[in-house]
Amino acid sequence: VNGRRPRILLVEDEWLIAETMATTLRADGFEIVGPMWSAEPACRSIRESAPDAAILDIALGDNETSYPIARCLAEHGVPFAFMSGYSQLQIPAEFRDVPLVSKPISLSALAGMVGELLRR
Amino acid sequence: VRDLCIFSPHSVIRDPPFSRIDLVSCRNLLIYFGPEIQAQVIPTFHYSLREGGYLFLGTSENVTQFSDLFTPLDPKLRLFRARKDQLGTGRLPPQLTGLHHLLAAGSQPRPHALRGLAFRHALESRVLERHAPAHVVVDREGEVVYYSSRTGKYLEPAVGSPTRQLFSLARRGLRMELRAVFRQAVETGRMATREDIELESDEGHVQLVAVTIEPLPDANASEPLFVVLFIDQGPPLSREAAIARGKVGPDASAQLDADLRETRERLQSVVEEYETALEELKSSNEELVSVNEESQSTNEELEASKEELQSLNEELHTVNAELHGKVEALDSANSDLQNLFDNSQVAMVFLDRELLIRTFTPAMGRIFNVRDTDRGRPLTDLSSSIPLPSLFTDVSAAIGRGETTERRISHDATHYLVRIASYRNSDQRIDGAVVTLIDVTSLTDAETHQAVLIAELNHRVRNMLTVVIGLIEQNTKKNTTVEEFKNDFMPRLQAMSKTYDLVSRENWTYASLAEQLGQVLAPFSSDNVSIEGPAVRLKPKQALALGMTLHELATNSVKYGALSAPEGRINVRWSRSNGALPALSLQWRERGGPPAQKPITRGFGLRLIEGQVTHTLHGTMSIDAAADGLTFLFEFPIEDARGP
Repeated sequence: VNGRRPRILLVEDEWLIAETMATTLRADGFEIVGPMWSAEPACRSIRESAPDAAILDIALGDNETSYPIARCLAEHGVPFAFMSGYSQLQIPAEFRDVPLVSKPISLSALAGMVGELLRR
Repeated sequence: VRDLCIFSPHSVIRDPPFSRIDLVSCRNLLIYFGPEIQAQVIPTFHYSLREGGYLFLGTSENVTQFSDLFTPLDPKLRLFRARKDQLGTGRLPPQLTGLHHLLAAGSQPRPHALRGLAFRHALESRVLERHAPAHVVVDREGEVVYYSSRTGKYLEPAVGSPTRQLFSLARRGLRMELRAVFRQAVETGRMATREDIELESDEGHVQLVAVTIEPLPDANASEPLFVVLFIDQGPPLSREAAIARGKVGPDASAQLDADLRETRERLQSVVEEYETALEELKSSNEELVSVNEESQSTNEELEASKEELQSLNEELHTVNAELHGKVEALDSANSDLQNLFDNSQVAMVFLDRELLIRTFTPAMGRIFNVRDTDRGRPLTDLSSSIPLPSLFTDVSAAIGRGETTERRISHDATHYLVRIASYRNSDQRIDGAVVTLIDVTSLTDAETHQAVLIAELNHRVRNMLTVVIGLIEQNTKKNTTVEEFKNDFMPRLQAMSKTYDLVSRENWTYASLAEQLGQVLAPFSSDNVSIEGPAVRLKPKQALALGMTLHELATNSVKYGALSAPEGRINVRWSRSNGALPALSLQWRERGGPPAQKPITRGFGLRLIEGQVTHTLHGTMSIDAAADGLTFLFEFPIEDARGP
């Protein structure tokens, strides 16, 4: 994107998963923002500098979800995808059109999804 | 009788007769014969019969011409008895004489003995008719069996039903004397006579009459007959002459005579009254006898009826006992049903075809506000506490087409299953509807809960698999051989699995920190490891992250730290800090091992520890590399400060 590496916001509360995804995406030439595990810092980061795309784990533990982050991203026109062990049915209606990457993730599918998001 | 008989054709006219027969029955044959052939056949019968044998003729036949041969035994039945041959023995039957006459054709005709007999008969009857006194033949009861001619002077028909009773028939004046003479004749068995009986004729003349009664000599002993002769004595006298004849002396005698006459008349009338009374008594007696017979048969019928009634009564008893048993069974069934109704939590209402309430369970009262007094009222009159918009269309469908409808209705966080079915009577015909409302709130909640649990389980499984994938990805970066990969990867996976055991044991609610530490340090001697701290509950996610962390610490210690030396010791202590956010402070302190040095190159183990603590547990960590061993200090927020 304009000669620089696309910045991808990654929100995932499980370190091992976040680290694996980040490692994979970095190897594919993306710059990773995060990985983050909480809504507030993520939204702050978006406001400061909007990423080019985002992958959000829905459940963040402690009854927190990434839906507030999703709203921030939508406000800033950032394309994003959910990643979850939940099914599409359990996602609120306002995010029905958001693409969903089902856990357990395939790392190649993840990279493909990021590429698709960037083409939007 | 047929078996005792021999049947054979036999002509009574031409064939030679049989002899010494007891009974000849020849009924309705003689009427077809002329007098001449009859005169030939009847003596043949006499010849055939033994003495005293019987002849049985038809009702319109008789042997009166041959009364010398046969005596009537029962004129009514036309039964006759053969008399002893009075004309001498050896008389040939006429057939034989006829045969003889035929065989001896041309010879002199014999004098007709038969014609002489008939002549004699005619003569005798003529004399009897003209010159013999009037007489009748009676049996011992006084019943007349034979009248001679000219008896009208002495007898007259009696009042009432026709009778042959001589004493009823006798004219007044004769009766008393007749009765006395008859009794005398019967008792003595000899001839009895009474003379000078005054018989008053219709013209007022008085005739003196003698009555003679004589037993008939050849009458059957069992049925004795008497001949009663009425003989006039002198010419009829006038009344005065009769009185004068009776007069013997002066007026006193005449007076006495008159008195006697008067007395006799009175006696006569008394006798008549007595006889009438006797007749009445007789008929009454007969009536009584018949009434008695009727009574007896009625009694027998009653007896039979009584027996029938008794058996009917017994049957009724049995039926009653059966009914009693059935009623008891019904009672207990009814009581069971009542208890079922009273204790049922299921709201039910039974409606008839007009939607009138037949009955309902008490649970229905909470929904429809229905009371016992509402039985018989239409359900449409009652208001429901829950909305049942399609109730009446469903009920109509159930009654009309026998359809069963099931709907779920939710109201105020209560869920009902509404079932509407047709009510069928014992003939399986639809006779209303049954509305059932079952509170399925707990079921619905359980279903919801189950859906949540399944989704959660799905989520966890998927997450765990993703973690495993991450673990593999991270391990493969560094390891070169499969053997090395396995050596690193498998213990980590096993550590994860153990933590899962711990968490699932508590139904994914929490895990005890002390237990988790005990599990991780279990392979080591208590001489080398010690733990101390308050009871703390960790959430499943925290337990999994901490489990991996503790596993890395222990592995590291065995390889490079305190547990690599026999004297090495590890002390784990923790405490809760109740600041703005409740937090856990945990210290892993190693002593007695080789001199520690803070790892400069960050291996995967250390990266894993740091990542889990800072990222997953949202905490902080610090490492102190003292000369006698490493000390790790972790701090991370915990939700539940209390716990076992």
